Amino acid sequence: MNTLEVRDLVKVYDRGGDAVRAVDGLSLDVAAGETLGLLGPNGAGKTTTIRTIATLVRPTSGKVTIEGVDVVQDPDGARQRLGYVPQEIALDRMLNVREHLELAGRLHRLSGHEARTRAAEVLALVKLEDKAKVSAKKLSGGMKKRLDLGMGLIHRPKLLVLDEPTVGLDVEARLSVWDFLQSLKARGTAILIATHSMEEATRLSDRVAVIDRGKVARIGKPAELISGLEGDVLEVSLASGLPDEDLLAAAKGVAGIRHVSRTRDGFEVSTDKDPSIMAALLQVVASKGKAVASASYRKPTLEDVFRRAVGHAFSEGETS
Amino acid sequence: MTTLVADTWALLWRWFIHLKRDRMSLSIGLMQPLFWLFLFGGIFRGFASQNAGFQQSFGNVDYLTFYTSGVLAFTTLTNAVLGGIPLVFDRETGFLDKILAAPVSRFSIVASRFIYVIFYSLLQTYLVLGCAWLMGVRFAANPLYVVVGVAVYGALLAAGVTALSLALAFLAPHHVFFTITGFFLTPLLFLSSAFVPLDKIPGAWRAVALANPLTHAIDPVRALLCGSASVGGDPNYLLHALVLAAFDLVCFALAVRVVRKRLD
Repeated sequence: MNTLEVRDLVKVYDRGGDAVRAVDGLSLDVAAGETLGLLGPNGAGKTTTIRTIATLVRPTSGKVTIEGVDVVQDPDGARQRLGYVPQEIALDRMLNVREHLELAGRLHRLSGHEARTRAAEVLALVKLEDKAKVSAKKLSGGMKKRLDLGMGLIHRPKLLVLDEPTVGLDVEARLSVWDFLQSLKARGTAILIATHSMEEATRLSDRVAVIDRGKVARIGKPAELISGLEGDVLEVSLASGLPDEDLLAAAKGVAGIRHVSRTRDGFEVSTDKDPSIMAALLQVVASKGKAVASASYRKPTLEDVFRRAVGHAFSEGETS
Repeated sequence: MTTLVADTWALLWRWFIHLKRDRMSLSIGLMQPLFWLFLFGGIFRGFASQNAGFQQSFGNVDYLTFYTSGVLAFTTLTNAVLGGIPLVFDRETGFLDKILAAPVSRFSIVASRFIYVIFYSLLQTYLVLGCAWLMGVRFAANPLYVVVGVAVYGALLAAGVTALSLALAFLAPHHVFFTITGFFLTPLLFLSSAFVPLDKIPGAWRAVALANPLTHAIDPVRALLCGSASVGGDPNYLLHALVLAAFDLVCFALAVRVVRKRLD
C-alpha cells in the first residue's frame, strides 16, 4: 500500500456561476521514503491538489487516502498521518520557537509532556536548538521556514505535504531546506512537493508529475522522462519578431527534426542527436528572411518534458 | 469530550500567551471601559444631579448606578464582536490552514475564542465594577449575585456574537472585517437600554432596542445593581436568559453554515 493514493480527483469551484475545474481527474501515488514533485505553472491545479490532500478542500469527486485512510470519510485519521506546510511561512509573531512546536504537537493530540519532548527533538532536527526561546518574528527567512517545517513534523507524520517550500528564500536558505528534506526522505517519510521550480523538482524528487490544467500530463523519474524525449534540443532565438507558421513548417521539414515548438523569442526543435543539423536549420531561417540572434544545442531538460507534455513553455503557462 | 477539552486548552494556551506578551494591548484594553464609565458616566451623573427633569426618568436611582450595567454589557459585546480578529490574521497569514490541517476539533476553535473573550471581559468588567463601587455605586443585590449575574449574562451575550465574529473572520479580509464590525458596534450600543431605560425609548426605536441582544444582557444586571423594582431594571432573569440563548442558537446555526460553506 502506498502512503498516499489519489484516484480520479476532481475539484470544481463555483466562480460566480461559472464552474471552474481546478483539478480534473488527477491520479498519483507516493510510497514511503519517496519524494514526488508536482511540477506545473501557477493555476495548473497543484495547490488545490495539495489542499485537498491536506483536508482543507473537499473534493468534488475522486478519492484520496493516506495510509488507506480516506480524507473525506475520516479527516481526523488522515490529519494524524499528515504534515502540512503551506506556501507562505505562517508563524505566530507572539510565540517563540519552542512554543510553536509545542502548539503544533498539542494540535496533533500529543500530551503536554510528549509535545515538550518532541519539540526538543524537532528543535535539533531543524537546527534551531539555540533559538528555542527566540520570538519567531526575530528569525531569518531560512530559520522561519525550518520552523514551519518543524511544525509539520512534530507528530511524526507518514506523509509530508509541502506547497512551494522554498518560494521567497535566498539561495543559502533554499539549500538548507533541500538538505533537510533529503534527510527526512532518508527517514522513510513520504513527501509530496508542489513546485514551479524545475531545479527544485529535479533536485528533490524521485519522481515528477507534470501537472497541467488539473491533470497529470506526465509522471515518472526525471531521468526517465527526459530520456523518453529521444533526442537533443536545438534552440533558435530570432533577432526580431516571432516565427510564423511558414517558418515553423519549413523547420519541421528539415530531415532529422522530430518536433518543433515556439519559445518566447524564437523556436526550438528536437533532433536525432545530430548537431550538424544546426547548419540546415539556420539555412531554413535565412531562407524565410529572418535573422538569428543566437542558436544553441543542448541536452533536454525537465522543461522540455513539460513543453512536450502540455504543448506550451513552462513560463507561458505560468503567466496565463 | 476529552479531546475537545484538550484541543480547546491547546488553543486557549496560545491566546493566553498573546495576552501575557502583548502588555500594551492588555493595558489599553483594561482602561478602555473605564473611560466609558468615567467620561460618559461622570458627565451624565453630573447632568442628572443638576436637571431634575432628566433625573426623574431614573426615579431615585443614581445615573452612574443605572449606567454601569450598560458599560459592563457593552464591554463584553465589544470583546465578542472583535473576538474573530486573531482568526482573520491567522487566515490571512496561513496559520489557520495549519490549525485546520491538524486533527483539532473545529468547535474547539470557537470554544477557545469564546472562553478567552469571557475571561478577558470578566477582567475588564470586574475592574469596572470595582471602580464603580469606588465612585459611589452601591449594589442593590448581594454582591455575589452581581458577580455571577455579570458572568452569566455576559457569557450568554458573548457566545452568539463571538460565533458570528468568527464566521465573519472565515469570510472577510481584515479591512472588511473591521468595516463591518465598526459599522454595527456603535449603533448596537445606542439602540439598546445602555443610556436610557427601555420604556423611555420612543416609538419604533424601542422595538429595535427590544430586539437588540445587548438590552437583554443589560436589563437583568441592571436589576441586580439598581434593585428589581427600580426604573430600567428588569427582574425577568429567566426570560432574558432565554432570549439570549435563542439568539445564541440562531448565531451558532448561521456561523456553522457559513464556516461549512467556506471550508467546502
